[in-house]
Amino acid sequence: MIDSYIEGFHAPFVKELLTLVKAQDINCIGLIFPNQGPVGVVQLRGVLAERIAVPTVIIRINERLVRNQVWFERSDTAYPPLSPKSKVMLLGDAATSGASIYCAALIVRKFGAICEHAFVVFDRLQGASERLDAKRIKLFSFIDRNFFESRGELNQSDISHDGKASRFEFESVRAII
Amino acid sequence: MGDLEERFFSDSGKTLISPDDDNSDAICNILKRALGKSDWVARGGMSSNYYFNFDKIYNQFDQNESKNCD
Repeated sequence: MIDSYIEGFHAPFVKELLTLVKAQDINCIGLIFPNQGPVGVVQLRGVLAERIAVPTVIIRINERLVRNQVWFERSDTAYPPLSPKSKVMLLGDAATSGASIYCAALIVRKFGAICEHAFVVFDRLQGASERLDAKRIKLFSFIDRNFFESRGELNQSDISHDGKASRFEFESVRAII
Repeated sequence: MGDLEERFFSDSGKTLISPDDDNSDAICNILKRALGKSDWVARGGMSSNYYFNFDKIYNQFDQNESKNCD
């Protein structure tokens, strides 16, 4: 049963991502490495490599040194996928305040690349889309909170929202990068 | 068209998969099993980090497969 579920998730996920990549003329995908370690979209890297012919780089937003912030395959060192010619789409797990995505976009822009699109699996609908819009980043989401809510999968603590904290989190990104 | 109308009619904020999608059962089942929340919360009490741990599901898949082999 679970194997059909896995394909039922992978197939539409890859299809939507591929549609966006083609429509926006993306030539590099930046996977946002979460604080929790190598989980989430980083685990889907194999699936993406198998089905999408676009190079991926891993962006570690918590690293302080520029040389540690972007990781790619050793074989790509001759022609790094992240260069001023790159048009990068960021791929992340969840969007809350939008701070992680903005942080990753600033890192990518440091390399001269264009970064105007982000794709997340789950949008928590806590203002990330609007804040990123103001920073010239268009956010696409695979599903959002309404998807889980309509199926009764979220409880009140998941939905509670501290608007001030997420605004502060977003606005402090500039100071970090 | 004013700003408000433009925003209303734009596709901004719309998800790529709607709850009525054919694959929504599979997507919901996978993502609800994989959803994880960080143990750390912001000062305001907001649980800050949501993430998906797909290994949880893949491990389960491996276990089921090995049971079938037995």
